[in-house]
Amino acid sequence: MTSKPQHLNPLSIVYFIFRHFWDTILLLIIGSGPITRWSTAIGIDPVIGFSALAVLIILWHTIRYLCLTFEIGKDMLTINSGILVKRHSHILYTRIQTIQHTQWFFLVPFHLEKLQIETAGHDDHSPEAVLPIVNERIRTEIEYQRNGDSAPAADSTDHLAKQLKPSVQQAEYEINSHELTVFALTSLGVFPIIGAGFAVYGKIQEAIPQKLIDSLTAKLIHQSAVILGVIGLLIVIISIAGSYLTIIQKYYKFRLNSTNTQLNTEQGLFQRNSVTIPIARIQALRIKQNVIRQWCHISTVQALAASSAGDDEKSNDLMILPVVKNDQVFATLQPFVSWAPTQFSELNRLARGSYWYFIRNASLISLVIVLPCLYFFKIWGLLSLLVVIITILMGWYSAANTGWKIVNDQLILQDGHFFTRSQYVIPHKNIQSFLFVQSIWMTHTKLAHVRVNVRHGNGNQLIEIRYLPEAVGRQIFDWLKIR
Amino acid sequence: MNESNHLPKQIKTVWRISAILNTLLAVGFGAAAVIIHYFFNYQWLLYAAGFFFVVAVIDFAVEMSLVPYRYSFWLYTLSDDAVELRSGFIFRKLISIPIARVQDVTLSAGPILQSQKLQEVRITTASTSHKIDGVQPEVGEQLRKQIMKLAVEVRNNDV
Repeated sequence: MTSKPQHLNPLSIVYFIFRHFWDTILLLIIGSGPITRWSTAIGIDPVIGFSALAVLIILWHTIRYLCLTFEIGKDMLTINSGILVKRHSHILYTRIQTIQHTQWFFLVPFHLEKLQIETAGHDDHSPEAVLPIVNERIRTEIEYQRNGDSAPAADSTDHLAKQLKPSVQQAEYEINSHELTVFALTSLGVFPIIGAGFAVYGKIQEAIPQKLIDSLTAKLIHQSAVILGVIGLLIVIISIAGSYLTIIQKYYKFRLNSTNTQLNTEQGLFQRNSVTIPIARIQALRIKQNVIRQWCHISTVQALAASSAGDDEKSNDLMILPVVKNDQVFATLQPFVSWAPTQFSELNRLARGSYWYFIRNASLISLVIVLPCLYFFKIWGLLSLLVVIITILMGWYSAANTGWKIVNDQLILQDGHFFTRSQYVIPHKNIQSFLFVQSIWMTHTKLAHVRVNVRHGNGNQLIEIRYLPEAVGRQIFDWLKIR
Repeated sequence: MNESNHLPKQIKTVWRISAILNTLLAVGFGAAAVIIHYFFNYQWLLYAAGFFFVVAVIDFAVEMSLVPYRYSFWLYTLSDDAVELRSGFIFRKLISIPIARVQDVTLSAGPILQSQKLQEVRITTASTSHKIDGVQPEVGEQLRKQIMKLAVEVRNNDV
């Protein structure tokens, strides 16, 4: 067992330099004037001056590297860092939420990876421990400690042998490449990219013709409609291809496996990203599909957990199954998350009469865009009425996808936002607090909203079911109150 | 203690004092703008000052007139296993926090609350945080005891 302080891999210095690349550039720009002046003043080549600065920067990061050490102790991981202000963070193995490791393809031959360890503490937005470049062995050791395989062997060889023995795999899943293709093609994320493409094109067009238009012949202007069409088409195609490739490389060979009490995911083409989380710490499950994927009968399953490890830095969604056929969702999920339902439940739905409220609210919001458009662009502003139609559809979609059900000790809630349907499966014990909300007008129409709060990432995920019948809302509320 | 409780009567004084302080703050900003304008003669400072004075007046009127409303519709219930907070008449909100989910309770009192012998209670769960504007110290104490009693229920793995 290693309990003496260890250093990261020396390559971390390169990592530090790259991570602070922009700081360095800034330093160079600010420093360039004085350095040139002083160098010429004392009569040396400015190149030497710049080299000195470079050496200083490297030295600084080297000192940082030397100051960052970690110890894998008996019950906790200790990380010592800081050059001027010394920091010692102690992370108890029992408190670890997720262990995430990412490995760029060029680091694979060297068995080096980036290790991030998170607990449930929510003071900080960054993970509690980041070890930028360490040997894969370190993670094995930490996981070994965390799994609490007590009574370490007396001699180290036996101990090592035990470590290398693969843990018992209980279930395994690998993404189906055909499904992944469908998944990548049905992303709604392509629309913002297309929009951005057109915006960039507009800017370029605005900038260029001013200079060129005089010199260009009328012939080209004649063809501009065709050119515009072709460019528009190109933008769409490139956007779709871009979004397609991004998703494919992100979820390339996505694997999920569970060992004893842990769930482990692995994904990525250029950068392999892997997250390990104790199954017991999963707060809720989210089954998500956008409207196109609804037509294709495929779903995405994510876990809500008190850790910001996972899919992407902003959403904190921990992907469990990126894409799976609707009829296989729970059959695939069950071996990994034992408390997951065995099948989709028939949810209780809103009465048609309530749809109106969703449509009304959505179109009221759209007025924020439509009214200024009508005011400023007059006739052309009528085009913005398209927004009203879209929001009406959105309201309808939200209403039609609202659903709820109580199954044993789980609450299943479903909502629809921006043409994406999310179904949440929340065990009773993971609901942190809950609300029953009603406006004075809703007391007459006998409707209510129910909101539940679940821990997600470093914050809170509020799940709301709107315009439920009041009696049903009370019933859910009372069920939630049961200890 | 299972029935709904109003906040202690003194809380109205607390709210009024804090309304006055807020107003004074806005007035202070406005006055500062006027003084700076006097020295530097920037025209926009006068508009800014006007804005702050208007805000001060509106804020004062709204906050003061809402005090009785807030008082009569803000209720809390402390039962054996949950804290319930009820607020609003036009927009009614009922929050329930199971005590078994409570991570910590913070009792605090600034100078205004101290003058009225009250404490602010902040109840934190793993994901949310809720505030009771002011309670008598005994109630805060009781809340803390109950939470200690039920804390045993929260297992290590729950979050």
